[in-house]
Amino acid sequence: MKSLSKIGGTTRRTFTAIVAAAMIAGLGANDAMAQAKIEHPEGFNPDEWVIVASVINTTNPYMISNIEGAEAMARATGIDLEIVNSNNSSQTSISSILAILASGKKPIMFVNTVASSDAPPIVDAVKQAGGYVTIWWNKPDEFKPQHIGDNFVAFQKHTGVDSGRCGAQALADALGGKGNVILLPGVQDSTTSKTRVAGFKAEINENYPEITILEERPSNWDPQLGARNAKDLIVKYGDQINGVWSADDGMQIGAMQSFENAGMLDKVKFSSDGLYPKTLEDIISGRGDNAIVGETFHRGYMASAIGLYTAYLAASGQIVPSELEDNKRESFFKLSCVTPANYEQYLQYDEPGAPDAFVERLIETGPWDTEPVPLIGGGVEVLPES
Amino acid sequence: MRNLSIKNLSGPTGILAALVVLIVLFSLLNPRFASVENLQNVLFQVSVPLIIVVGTSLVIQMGSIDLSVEGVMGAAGMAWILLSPNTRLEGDIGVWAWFVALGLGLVLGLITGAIYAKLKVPSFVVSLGTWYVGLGIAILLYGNALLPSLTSEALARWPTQLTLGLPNCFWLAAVILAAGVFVSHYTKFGRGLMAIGNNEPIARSNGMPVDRYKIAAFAIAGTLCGLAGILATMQLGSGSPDIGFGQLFVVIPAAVIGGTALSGGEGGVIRSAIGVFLLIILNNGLVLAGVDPDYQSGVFGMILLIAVIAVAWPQRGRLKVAK
Amino acid sequence: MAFLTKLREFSAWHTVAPPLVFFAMLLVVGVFNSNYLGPLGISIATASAAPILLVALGQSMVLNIGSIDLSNAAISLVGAILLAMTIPAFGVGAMIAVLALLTVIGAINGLILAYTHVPSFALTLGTLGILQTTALVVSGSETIYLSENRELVTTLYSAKLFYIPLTFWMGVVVAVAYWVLLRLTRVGQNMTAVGKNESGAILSAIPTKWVKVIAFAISGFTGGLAGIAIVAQAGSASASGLGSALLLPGIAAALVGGTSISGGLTNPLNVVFGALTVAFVPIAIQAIGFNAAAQSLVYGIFIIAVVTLTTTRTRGLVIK
Repeated sequence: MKSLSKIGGTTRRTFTAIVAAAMIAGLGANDAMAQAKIEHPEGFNPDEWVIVASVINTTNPYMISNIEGAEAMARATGIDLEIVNSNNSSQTSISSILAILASGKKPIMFVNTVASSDAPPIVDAVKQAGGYVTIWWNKPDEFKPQHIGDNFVAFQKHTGVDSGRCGAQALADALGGKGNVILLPGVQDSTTSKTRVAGFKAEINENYPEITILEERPSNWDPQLGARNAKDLIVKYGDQINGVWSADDGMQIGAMQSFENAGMLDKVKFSSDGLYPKTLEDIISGRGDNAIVGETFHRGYMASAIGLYTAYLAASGQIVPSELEDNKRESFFKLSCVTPANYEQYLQYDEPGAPDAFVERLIETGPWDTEPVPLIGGGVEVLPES
Repeated sequence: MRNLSIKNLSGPTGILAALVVLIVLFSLLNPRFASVENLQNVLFQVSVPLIIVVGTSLVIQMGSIDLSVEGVMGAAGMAWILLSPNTRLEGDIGVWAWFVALGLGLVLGLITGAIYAKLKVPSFVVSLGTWYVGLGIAILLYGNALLPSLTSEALARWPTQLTLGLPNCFWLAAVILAAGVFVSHYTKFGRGLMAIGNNEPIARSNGMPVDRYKIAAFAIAGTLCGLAGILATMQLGSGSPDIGFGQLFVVIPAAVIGGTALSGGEGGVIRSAIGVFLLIILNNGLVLAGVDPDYQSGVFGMILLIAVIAVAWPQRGRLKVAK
Repeated sequence: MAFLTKLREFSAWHTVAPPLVFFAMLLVVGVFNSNYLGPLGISIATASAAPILLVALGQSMVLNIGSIDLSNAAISLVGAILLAMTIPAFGVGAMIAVLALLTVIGAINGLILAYTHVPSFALTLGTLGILQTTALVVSGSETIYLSENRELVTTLYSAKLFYIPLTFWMGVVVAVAYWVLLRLTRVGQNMTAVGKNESGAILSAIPTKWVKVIAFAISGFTGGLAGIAIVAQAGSASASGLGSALLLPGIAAALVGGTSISGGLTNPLNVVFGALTVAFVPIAIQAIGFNAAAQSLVYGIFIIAVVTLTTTRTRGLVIK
């Protein structure tokens, strides 16, 4: 029992430390609520609700942008906000969401799922809690909002096939229709990655017969893995490589670094998806020999704002999900192709205050008609024959 | 056939033989594997894990383990780049950035070592905790502003520039490796770590300041991880909290495969270094040989299994204890 | 006299600590949000803990003989994928077949260990790689969605006894079974002997090879149960989805549950609380409301604090 009293001291010290840390870290917790910009309908009490945004991690610029959109929506609606950082783990994602649901408030939720298989348990949990959720990017194809009910308000994404086609066109045109390219897909079993790769390959097969795909090396959306794979491929193929397509900008950043280290940056062209801030910088500065020739434009804050607004409309009774057309339950939003020639029109979307401006327009025109990302279709993405 | 020829070898020679076999195999599969360009590529890729593995070996020799590698790299790397010429902040403090970053690594290592040695918490869990603590610090430093990229050409080019035909980053790793060998073989501290791993109660009763050595070992490991974080950031050209991603599962297996057993008391820095080369070359060779990415971890696993079994085979005996 | 000694052993800190720490954490969180002290909190904690618990139980049995199994989380993932693919067509038969297969895979690990004397770390690292590829190839890099016979498996997750889902009760039953195995059967006692002093065990004519095979087979079997728990919760399986990040939490849960990493000291009943604690930490962080960016930092501090409180600190024990 001697040991018990010794442990007692340690327990007390550690406990105090935990509580102190809790108080310090908690200081930066949630956004203080300012004046709401939306008029809530009769019977909707914002204090009963909580806005939840679940992102895959907090280090990827796209996810950071998701969070900004959620913060803007929280400001506009005057509803408290909770962010879930999944740390790349489905387990953490689901547990944390369950934790918030236990807080007693009903959720208006946007989820950027870590993996497709996360969608069913999350949706079930939200349904049980009487909340409303929109899922972005990844869910099992057979798991449809129409079969689950109003609580699963919508599934939304930008089509991967279009993204792949954009990138393929830009790259192939820049190479004059002839040459060899390497591909860097994302996480192998991610629908997002697979649809983009399929779109790229279909475009090449259909319209650019003289472009050869040398090899593809999945790089898990990670800049370092992208750099390493690019380096290995440079060793393998040397100056046979004329172009590089990456399923997203994160990997492209790593790949470009490897080509620069190898002194090949001005001889190779790049295209990808996402128009990250760093990529935009490189386009503006003309890094390499104007190495980046194609991108797609969409922003995380637009995705989360649209998702949350759709869920909010359902929660406040302003839309009834079961009465919506199919393509508003499983939705495709517009993806814009960006090249060094037309990138300037997109700069406005990165100015300070852009998320709040977007949310204002969203409230005016509704979730399906707001530029630059209106609704363009819906259903399940069909992979083209390739 | 391969088994027969290394039947009579043991220790580091076994693992070296496996390495040689792999190199020959991959060169046959793709001649570019054996090119000068690939050699430089491989040396570039091994530099970061080599620096880490020196610290890891010291810790494992004691019979402990350090999982905090990736978090410490992230924290130190982010601290370094934010204090060096970068696209986000104007706070370039030149060489002092190195001190701050290395200091951060040192502090994280000290914390791990102290909690482990003084509070008697298993090193597995403490270092798991400091992993997240380091990662958390890196994420907080990263905030949600612009990606910080190196604006200094000199710093960004340094790792790949060649000195006497080999990349600078490798020279740095080689120096650290040499220092590691010196410390572990020629100092009382280094030999003490081995003794602690072999039999701690006896080491203690012989008057060895076991707790101090333990803390020192973790502190060194932390500082080296910090250095590795800085190097990795220079190699990538930008800062990221995830700069250490994937290193843990290169470094620990490399040490173990090289013969630095997790139970402590055997192995060494050189053997772990050979293990690092083995793993990096294996991965590099698989890509160059054109192995389908879906199958890559499977082939990696199979070859690993075969290599490890081949090395252990000559030493198996009825009374041998393998954990 | 013997009874008093037994009582003193039982109330030793390391036996009592894991459950104490878990309830302490629950209490702290309850202060912030009293919903956690009620049925909902217990429901969430146990639902999240179920897969971790099963993986940790398998791991603790392997740790008991002084080895480590890095592949058991991958075994559960392959199991989950196989289950998702075969249950629609074969129902319960599929579950039995998959469990049998995974037990065999575990046994193979044990066999290779026993006959080649390769260190278990390197061995299971190799099998981990092979299983990862298996998961990708078998699933065709797709998410497998349970289309038919869903209720067969998902009821395990949705049906609750005392607010706790059946998947967790499955883990508790397994924990009790393993506790009995270790304390009261010869096989179990042999395992502990091997863990405490393998050379001594060999010289005492304990069939160490078989002991190892059995320990790893158990790990495979429990991994299969974890796979069932995963599919029950997600209604689907994918190589990068739920279950792909179970390795480290599983080991941490075993350690927080008082398992010694050098072998010979395993209490499956405490591993239950270890798993609850590890599963609960992210929930607690979310509930207390930490800033999203600070969450990793807090997670690290929590883990260290929690284990500091639960570690076995008997005199003379060498902590590694």
